[in-house]
Amino acid sequence: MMLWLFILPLGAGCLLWLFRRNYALSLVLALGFSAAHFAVAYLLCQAGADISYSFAPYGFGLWFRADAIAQLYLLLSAGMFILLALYTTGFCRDKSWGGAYQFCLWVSLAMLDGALLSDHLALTLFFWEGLLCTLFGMLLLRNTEKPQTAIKALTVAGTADLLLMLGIALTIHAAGTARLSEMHHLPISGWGAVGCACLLAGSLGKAGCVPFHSWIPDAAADAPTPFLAAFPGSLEKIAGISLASRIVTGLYDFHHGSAASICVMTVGAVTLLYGVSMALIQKDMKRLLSWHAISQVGYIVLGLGSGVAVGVAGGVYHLLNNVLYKSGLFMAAGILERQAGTTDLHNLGGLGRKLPLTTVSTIIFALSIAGFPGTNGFTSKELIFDAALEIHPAFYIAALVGAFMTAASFLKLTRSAFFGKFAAPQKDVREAGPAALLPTVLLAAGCLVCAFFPVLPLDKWIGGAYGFEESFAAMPKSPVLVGLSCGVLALAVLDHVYGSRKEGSALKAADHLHYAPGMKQYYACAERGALDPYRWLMGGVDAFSRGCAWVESGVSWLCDTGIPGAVRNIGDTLSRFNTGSLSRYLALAVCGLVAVGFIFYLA
Amino acid sequence: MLSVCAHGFILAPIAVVLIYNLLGRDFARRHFVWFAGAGTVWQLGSAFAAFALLWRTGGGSYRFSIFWDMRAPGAAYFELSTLKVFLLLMIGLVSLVSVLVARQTIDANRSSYANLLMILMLGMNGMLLVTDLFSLYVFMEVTGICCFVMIAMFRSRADLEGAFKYLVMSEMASIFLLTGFAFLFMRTGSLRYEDLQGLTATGGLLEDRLVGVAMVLLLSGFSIKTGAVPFHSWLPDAHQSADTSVSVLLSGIVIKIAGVYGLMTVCRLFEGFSSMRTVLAVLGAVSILAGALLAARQGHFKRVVAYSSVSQMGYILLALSTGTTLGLIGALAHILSHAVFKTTLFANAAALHEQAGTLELDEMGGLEERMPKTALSSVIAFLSLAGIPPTLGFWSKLLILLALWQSGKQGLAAFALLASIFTSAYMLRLQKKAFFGHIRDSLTDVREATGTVLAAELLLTALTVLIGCAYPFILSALGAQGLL
Repeated sequence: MMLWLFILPLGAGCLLWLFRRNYALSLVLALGFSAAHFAVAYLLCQAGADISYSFAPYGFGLWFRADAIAQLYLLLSAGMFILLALYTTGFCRDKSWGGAYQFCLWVSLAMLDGALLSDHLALTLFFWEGLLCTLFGMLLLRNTEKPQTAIKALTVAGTADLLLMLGIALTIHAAGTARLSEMHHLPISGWGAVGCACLLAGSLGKAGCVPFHSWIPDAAADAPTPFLAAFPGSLEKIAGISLASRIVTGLYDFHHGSAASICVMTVGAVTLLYGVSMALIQKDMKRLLSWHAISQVGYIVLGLGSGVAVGVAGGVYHLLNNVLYKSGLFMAAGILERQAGTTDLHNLGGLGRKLPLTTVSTIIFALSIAGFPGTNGFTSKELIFDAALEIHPAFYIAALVGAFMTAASFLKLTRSAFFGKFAAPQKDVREAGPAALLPTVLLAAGCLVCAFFPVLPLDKWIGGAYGFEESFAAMPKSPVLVGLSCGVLALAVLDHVYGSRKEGSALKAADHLHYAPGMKQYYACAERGALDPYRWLMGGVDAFSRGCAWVESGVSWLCDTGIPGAVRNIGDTLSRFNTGSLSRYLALAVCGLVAVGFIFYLA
Repeated sequence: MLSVCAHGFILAPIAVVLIYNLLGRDFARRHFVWFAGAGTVWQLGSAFAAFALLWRTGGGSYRFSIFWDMRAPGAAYFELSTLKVFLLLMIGLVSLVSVLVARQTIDANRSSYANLLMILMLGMNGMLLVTDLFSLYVFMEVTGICCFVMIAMFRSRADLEGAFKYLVMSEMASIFLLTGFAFLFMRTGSLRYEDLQGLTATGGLLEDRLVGVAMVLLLSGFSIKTGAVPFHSWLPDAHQSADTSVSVLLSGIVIKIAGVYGLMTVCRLFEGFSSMRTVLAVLGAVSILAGALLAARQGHFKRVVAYSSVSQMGYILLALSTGTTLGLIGALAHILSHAVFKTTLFANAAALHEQAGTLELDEMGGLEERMPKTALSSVIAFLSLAGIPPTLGFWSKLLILLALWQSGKQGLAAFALLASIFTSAYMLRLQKKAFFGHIRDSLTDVREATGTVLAAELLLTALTVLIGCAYPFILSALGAQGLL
């Protein structure tokens, strides 16, 4: 049965590529196959709590194992993929690159399934690299003329994967086995520490953590919206966080307050603050969302890195919520792009009456991501706040600052896009077709379900998968923390009101923060690219290649000029002794005799 | 049977000379190839036979004398062993090639060539077979004088000059050696190998201390004969001025028997002097490098090949410097490969001189088009010289490297390996200038070599490849028989 998880996506990819010109058939195929895939995943999870398949005919094995954690992520990705497939098929209609894109997307699903289920680290690596290849392919499809973004993504994600490779090698070395199911709480010391760090860097890099984030905002400008919804929005996060959560909960002996935990939380806090601060000043919806895709990973990592149950539960729940609302937001951005012709907030406004369903969905997503009380985002963020405060107040403050900026930037986004004056009165903007709208609305509904019934996902699914005995759905426990969170949100609203009054428009509501002393220099720095690790890497590569060129020219000189010249000169000098003069020959022979005597007595 | 072979090595050349000179002058002149050829073929055949006989008895040695009773106390005697038979075989092979080349290159003095070749063979055979240093010296002088006359007898001014230099340097070597022998004689009262073995330089007497000086003199004397740097100066001049058939002999075998075999004997007799091996290592390394550097700057085909001999002798000296059995095997293997590829190159030189009329590299070029077989044999010889598998030269260099490595001289092994790059460099230059590139207008009428020169080239090329391919089997067969 497990094999069907690979056969179905691969088959669907081929069929969708073959019938790319027939929209209706594509729609049926996409829905049918993704539903079948979900059904297989569901049956697999029902079949038993812990299934293991290994095929090892000639000592070569393919070990797959659907344990509780794998089941959780498998169902999440399979369910999410139905909506993604529907949305993608609608979006790719009449696009020349649609067939190839669909193929890559479905192959990615097969790779993701493999990555989630593999019980052998080498196999995991194979599927992760497969995911990298399809990612590169999808970024390249629409931009064959201008492949910089694809190359950047390949370089950045490839670096993360290299670290993962190193981490896998060291973990195998530390554990003495490559089977995940045989590794339990490996000590974080010696090579194990390096292995753990590399594994975490690789997996969090996949999820889009700093410093492996920098391709995502570029992709927002160049890649099609379904790609953003599928990759930075959901699938890559599922892949990265599933592995990271395994590392912190069972693979390594990762406990709260340890140096490893502090490091991971620091990375999370930096990711959070950097992502959200960059999102705050964006004036394009897709770019803004892409920066939020980064900052939300920061929250998840902050939760996971704490190493306490409440943090892990909050982090994983935040991943689930994030998949729902971030994909939804990207889908909504796609609808705006298609219907209004742009995602540039300068040219948007007053779309609320023209696109009512999209608007309502976006507001639900925005409220969730900002963590307004009563939404699903609020619950998961509160759990993370709780864990952060338990480790150190500094992390808590970083999380609060992040919440403030998130709220501020989404207030700006929703107000400037959907309210106010209609920006293009001459254009006839209408609600999108069902293929685009339905997934968006369903995701919004999903957000509401999670908001009202957190027990099911939080305690039953996540708590069940990770074996938490505590119930987290009854949170928040501390009214003080809730009060503080609400206060921060209220502050964000006030700030927005102040900003928009001061600058005269909702779009410029964050400008007073942008140009505040200190912040202004920071943003200038970021806009110059000085904070982009890819630039640093490329600078390093450039310096390295210049060094190599220097060495190479030296070697060339040595081979072309130096050695032949030396041979010529020495040969000529030696030849000068052989003048043909006999007396010189005799003298040379006598000198030789003396030399031989000298060596003989010296040795 | 073994006794016939053994005596033949001394008596056959003498017999050939006697019979040859009884014949009429014109008849002898016309048919010199047959007589000289008969002598060399006899040598080859009897060396093979002796080898087979010794093989059957599982190695060992055979002692014999000719006109005297060798059982008398202190009497000199000859001795045959597998090592010596191998070198006798080399003498036969190179002499045969020399005769094949001489048939086409020599016009005047044919009878003298035949006589001198036989006496040269006698000299070299004698050097190998004797068992005391003084007899060794006598036969060495026979060899040296023969060579001198052979270089000189073609009577151009250059020939005389080259021959004179050879004579003077050869006499210099004789002085060194005789002095050395005298010092040794002062110490032991005998120059028989068995009396000299195990000699050391410790002791209070002057005679004891002079043994060390004798070592230095012997090493220097035989190094002159070998042509090791800095005693090499005579070698290129002599090669260039001699007729090619004589160059074949000089480079192919004389420097090895008169020089390297002498050093081998010294090494075997005086194993106790470890500093001797250091001297050999230094001489070897310097010869390899200086020979290659000098070869890279020569403009005359035969001078390049002559300096290449200096460089290759360096490899043999390095092999000897290890003092191990594997080193000795490596040295012998390299003597074989050097004999084969160097005679090939001189046969090429003969062909080029005969057909193109020049050996100056600047006047040649593109001859591969006109002389494909000569070019092919030359390229194969180059590959062997550079040590490219599966040619003969690859195996011998490999054995030398292994011997160096195993005896703990890793640095020298690395040096020897790197120095092969220079070998390739000067040989590539030679090949390119002579055979490749655009053909010169003056050379468009050149034809392929003919007759015995071509036969010699093809025979040697076939040997290079065939023995090269069969090398592992030959080594394992010899090893199984206990002959290594």
